[in-house]
Amino acid sequence: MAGGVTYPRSKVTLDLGDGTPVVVDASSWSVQRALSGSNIPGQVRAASGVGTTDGSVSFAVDDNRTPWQAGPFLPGGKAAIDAAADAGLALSPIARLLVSKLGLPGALTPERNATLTENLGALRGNVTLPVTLATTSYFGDVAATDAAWPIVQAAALGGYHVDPSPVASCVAALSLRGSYAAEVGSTYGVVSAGRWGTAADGCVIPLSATSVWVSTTQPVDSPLYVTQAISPLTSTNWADFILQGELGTITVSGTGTTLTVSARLNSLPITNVGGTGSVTVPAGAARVQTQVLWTSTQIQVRVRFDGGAWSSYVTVTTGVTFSIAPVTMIRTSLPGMQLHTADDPAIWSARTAIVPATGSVLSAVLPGTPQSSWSLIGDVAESVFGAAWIDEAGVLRFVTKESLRGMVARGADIIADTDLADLPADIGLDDVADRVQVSYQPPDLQTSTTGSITVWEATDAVQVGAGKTVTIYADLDGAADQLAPWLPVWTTSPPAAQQSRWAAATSRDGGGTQPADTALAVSATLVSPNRVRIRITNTTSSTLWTVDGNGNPTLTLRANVYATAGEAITISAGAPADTAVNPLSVDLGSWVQDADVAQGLLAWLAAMTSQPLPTLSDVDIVPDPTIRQGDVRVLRDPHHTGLVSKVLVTGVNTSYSSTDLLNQSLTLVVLGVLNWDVARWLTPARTNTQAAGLATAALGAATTNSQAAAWFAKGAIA
Amino acid sequence: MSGTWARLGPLGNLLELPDVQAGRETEHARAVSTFPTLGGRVRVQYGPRAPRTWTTSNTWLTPDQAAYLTACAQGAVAGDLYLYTQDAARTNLLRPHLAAPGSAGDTALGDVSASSVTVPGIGPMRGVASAAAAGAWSETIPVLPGVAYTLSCWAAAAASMSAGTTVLQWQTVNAAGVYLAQGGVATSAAGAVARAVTTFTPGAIAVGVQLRVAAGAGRTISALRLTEGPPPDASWVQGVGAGQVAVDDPGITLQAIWDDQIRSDYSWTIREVG
Repeated sequence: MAGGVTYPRSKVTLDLGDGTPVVVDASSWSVQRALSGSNIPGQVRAASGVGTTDGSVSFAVDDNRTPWQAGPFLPGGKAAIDAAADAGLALSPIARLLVSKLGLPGALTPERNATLTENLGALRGNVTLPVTLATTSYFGDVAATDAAWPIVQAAALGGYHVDPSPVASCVAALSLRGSYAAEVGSTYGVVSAGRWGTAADGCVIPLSATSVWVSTTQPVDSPLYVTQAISPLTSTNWADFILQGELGTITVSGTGTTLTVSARLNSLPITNVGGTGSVTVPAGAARVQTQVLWTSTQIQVRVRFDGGAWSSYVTVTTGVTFSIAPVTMIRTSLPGMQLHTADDPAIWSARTAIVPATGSVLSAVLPGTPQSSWSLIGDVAESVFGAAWIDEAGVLRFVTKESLRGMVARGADIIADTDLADLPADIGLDDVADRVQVSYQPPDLQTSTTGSITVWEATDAVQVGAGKTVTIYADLDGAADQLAPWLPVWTTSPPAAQQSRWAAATSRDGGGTQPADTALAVSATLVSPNRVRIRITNTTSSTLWTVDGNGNPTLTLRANVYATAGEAITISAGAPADTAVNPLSVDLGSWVQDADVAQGLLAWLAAMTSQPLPTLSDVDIVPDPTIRQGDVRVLRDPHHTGLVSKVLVTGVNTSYSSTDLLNQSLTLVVLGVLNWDVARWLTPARTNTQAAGLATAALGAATTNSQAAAWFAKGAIA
Repeated sequence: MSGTWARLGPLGNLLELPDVQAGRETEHARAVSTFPTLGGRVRVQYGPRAPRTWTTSNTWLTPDQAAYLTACAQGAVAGDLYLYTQDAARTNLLRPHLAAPGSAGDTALGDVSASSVTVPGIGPMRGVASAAAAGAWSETIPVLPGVAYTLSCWAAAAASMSAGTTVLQWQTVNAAGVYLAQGGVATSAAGAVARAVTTFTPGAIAVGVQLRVAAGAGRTISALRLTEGPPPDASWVQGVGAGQVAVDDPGITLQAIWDDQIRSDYSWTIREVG
């Protein structure tokens, strides 16, 4: 590019209906990407909400294919567009879309055209998220869910996966992507500080030391596989799982680039017999798989990465023949864990969604109205002021509000003199607010230690024949955990307001003598947090009805934890309501449940709307196919407009034609300088005194605070 | 083929065209796009290929002399048309993207190499990178049966290549595209930069030749040249090329009608395609 001469090229791959994408001879194409939102003002919305992409392609066919001859000519196939700015540069993805319409401009021409739309696929399908409830962690904290979890769930239901979906032979799956709930199997215990962070690969993971036990009863006389994602938070002690059986323990742990495997027998008569081996983790490895062969006389363990070659075995031989014992529990602190019994290539399927932690902690996800996955993702994204889109390479990407404000690594600078054809900008008052209020809806979470929270009461009497068992299902309005055991209503120790209660009578109207305390055996099991299965067994020799002495249906289910939809809370900043000229109100709904998070969002919204922010639309730039939506760059135009600022790429239009070649225009949002930028600039960490000294040295002793602040702001993006 | 400027027709049926007036024009249509920046700098993008258009004219031709070209123009001749010009046969029968593979990022012969090949008279030239496996066969270049051709190229490698290293391969094909004969183009002397040359004579039913980069990673191949007979020296001449074309309907100006003859002026436009 030094001489300003480039030879761009592009590659367009289309599936014209036969299921096989082929490279077509394209004469032109264009792709438009933009972010949109609905409930927040334009200058904020410009950087949050849901991304939309569409495009078009004109191409020629050799076989004169039409809808009526020469093979398939049907929409619905996939389309891929790649481009490179110059000879010798690798092609960069521009878009992965869906052919929504195919056309032929005329009967005699070999030209065909295709209209491309976002490949939402199954994301259009309606989903209802499973109800989840914060669990109490080992430390007594509430191990809450991150709002990333509903995004991960909705994306997976729509075919975009952070981790592969459970394979056919999966017996336990725990993704740890914002929730401690197991996808397959059940979570046994959580040892965690209950917070969520973002790994180096951009995906949500448990922050700090976390381990979750999943109970399983898998026999181990055949190979077992444990596959996990390598999402290191730090380079040390990043990998960890323990597979525990009655006979012993398999431990896999990572430090730096070394993965250590150890197997140890703990059961009598042989104790503390163990073996250890280690392997080096290949750079860039995404997933690690451990194979455990646990027989009656020995344990063999080996590992591999991303479906590559196996390591050698770590073998522990006991010399004593044990009867086969099941694996009872597996503990993991690495995300994306699956315990499966067969080698399955699907476990290596590539990641198609990147979802970082949102920072919004949810104590309960309550039953919601069914909506499409994509709409749900958009709702969550807007509520936490993030954005979601399907990126250039076809990966569903959620971006946090921090990233949208530029708290990410920056790409190369954009220099107006050499990179831009022009720099049109506008700045308006439309989106400025002098008062900002946000409302959010924390659930009403009740806890108890005595089983005194009533979560359901029967409205109908249940008739149970002599010696029979009847199963009924209770649908709760909210989500419950730790169900209280059942006692008859007439037992007063513990008091009648505690524990689940039943009453029984030998006639429907409540007549007859009071049955024995053991007349009914009642048990309740959580099918899901808002659905309970109640089994009632009549141990007597006569028919019983679950009514009290007056014939009123009496089955009362109580629990220690119960969450129901709470009232909305509104907080505000800026001018008082009665004097505000241009107030702004945003409903964050139930995707924000924490007061601190809501305050943070309010402050962010107030900062974004306190003054008009310029936006730059249709900025024609020297085409660079490596520029991506969501990129943060520094735009420098010291000679013409004086603009030197961080900018966020919120829209990208890229087009190619055989005559005009590659063209690109961007929509940019000018970002303010954050303390984060200043701190990064002043790294290695300087004290306040040292920083003040720097400013004084540069500006002189009479420097005011505002002058120093401006100097820091300028320096931070210098 | 003395006396005629070109042959035209499907592979295996290249017929001589009538002589044309001097001053035949060749036009190149390479896409170009300029982008002036705020700072006054101009950036230019060029398209990967420059399809050519030849405009020729004949005066006082009889209808039967123009019959073949007219048949080609109206689509009466079956098969894809190829143009084989006399100037290409003497300079370089390879089209520009095959004669200088990798130019403008063209990948018809393989991936563009990060290295270049130093060619006499040109200096460093872009080229394509060889790989452990042989590349894919190129499009078919029309050749005449029984005529001796010389095929050459230049190759460069990080370390010295021994003499006799095969860097390029050719194969002749018949009208059905079926392979007939094959050969390699080997370096004639040892060195990190070397010219490779070979000669071959297509058999009686051969209609075209295809090329590919020979197996063996680490080499950069460029400056290909295919001529009738040996070229005058080892230097490279840009691709003039024999390739697929389309013929526009002619412009006809009737000049005279006698009892036994009709004479007209014809103007032809022949376009490079593919």
